[in-house]
Amino acid sequence: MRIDIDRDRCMGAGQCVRAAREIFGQSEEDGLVVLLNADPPSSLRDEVSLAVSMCPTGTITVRMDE
Amino acid sequence: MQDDVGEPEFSFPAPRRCPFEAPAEYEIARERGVVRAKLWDGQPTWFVGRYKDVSSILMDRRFSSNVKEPNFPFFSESRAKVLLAKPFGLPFIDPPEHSKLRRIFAPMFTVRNMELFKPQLDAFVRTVISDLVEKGPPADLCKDFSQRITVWSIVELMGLPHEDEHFFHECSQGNLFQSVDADAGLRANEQMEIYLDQFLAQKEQNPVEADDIITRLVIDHIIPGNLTREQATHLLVNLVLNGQDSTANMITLGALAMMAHPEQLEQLKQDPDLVSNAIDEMLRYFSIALPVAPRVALEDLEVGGQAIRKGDGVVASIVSANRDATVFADPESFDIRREGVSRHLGFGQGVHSCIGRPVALLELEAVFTTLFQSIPGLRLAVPIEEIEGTGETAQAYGVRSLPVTW
Repeated sequence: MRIDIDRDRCMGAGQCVRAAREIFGQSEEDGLVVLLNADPPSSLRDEVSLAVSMCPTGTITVRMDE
Repeated sequence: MQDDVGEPEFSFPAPRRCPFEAPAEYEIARERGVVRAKLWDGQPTWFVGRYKDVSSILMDRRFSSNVKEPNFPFFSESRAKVLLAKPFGLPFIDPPEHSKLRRIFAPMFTVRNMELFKPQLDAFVRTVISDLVEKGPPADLCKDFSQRITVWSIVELMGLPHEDEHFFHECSQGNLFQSVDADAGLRANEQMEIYLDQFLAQKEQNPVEADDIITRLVIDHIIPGNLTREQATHLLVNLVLNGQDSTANMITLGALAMMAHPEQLEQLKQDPDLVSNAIDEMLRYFSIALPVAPRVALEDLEVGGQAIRKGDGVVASIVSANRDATVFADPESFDIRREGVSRHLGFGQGVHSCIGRPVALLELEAVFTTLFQSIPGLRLAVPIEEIEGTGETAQAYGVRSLPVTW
């Protein structure tokens, strides 16, 4: 799966970090999302889906592998 | 696409007849889609009640939150008076200015910062519980517990003096009921404005490094000239006034719901892993942000098949969306094991979603992992029918008091 983030949308709510710590972090500098792993294994699919649904600003998009 | 403008179906806000029920009138909007509702001054507004439509409006930048827009749907005459005089805070600023200001606060509410605050908060919650136990029953869970925790937390995070907690609490109460008492709302805003302006001025003259929110605002933003003291004061007034009773009311209502459902309370006590889901269900079920979300359309557009004209006022109701049966099965029941409840809109959504969410969640977690475990016999001291709600025009719904015993 491929993950994209749009930092212009991010407001730093940190919901993605709560949902999937292996994949999303927050910058110390500006509090906005940092993508730790853009290509996580499919075993983390549930965590990623949760992060997408919990993000209040629609910052995260996911493309599933064929 | 429907283009007709019908007669108002109901008055907004519709009455909440008991703390556990969302207004029955909003069901009409979930059945029919976007409907007309009537505001306090007789003016019509659009009322949007389905989850999908509410969510899409909250994510859509073609809607403004600016109270100066002519058809902004105010909650009451009193609320209009207060907000037009003191339109303080991020909720009433549109992007792109909003994004710039909101991001100033993002580094202060990171998950990491919340984790650093957690041990102090947990210790304080234990202290408040010890005080309750020491004093003995009965107690008012509102005043003796929830409000103590939330005022302490905001003072601690902001770096304000704890000896002034009583003043902050009084101002918060004035703000809470601004929709029925404009004078109290205006006074609360003015007094906080004067206080914070002086506090910031003193910090500017004598800045001492610290990690609290006000010190960071002064050192990182006011002194370098990114933000004026007046701007910072206005943003802080909104945070200090709205960050207390909202969470306090949620804690109290959550405790009330647990005591009203003893079987679920037993499950919660035995399985701490349920706490996070239980908190989401409390936020969904009570949807305390009653006025949210008032908007004005900035262009002609369409919502749920209904044409909305540029300049029209719209209420995208999170209270209604959180009871949408197409998203939450059997929405009128309280179920701490509910699946998919994290989709609730209790904190709103989009750029204006609650900035204090991480703090509120931390406080709720601290409470619901400790309170009922520490006082196992905690229960209502009066029949549940006697619990009086704040009314539907409070800024954040709650109960006036919650008498408990053990």
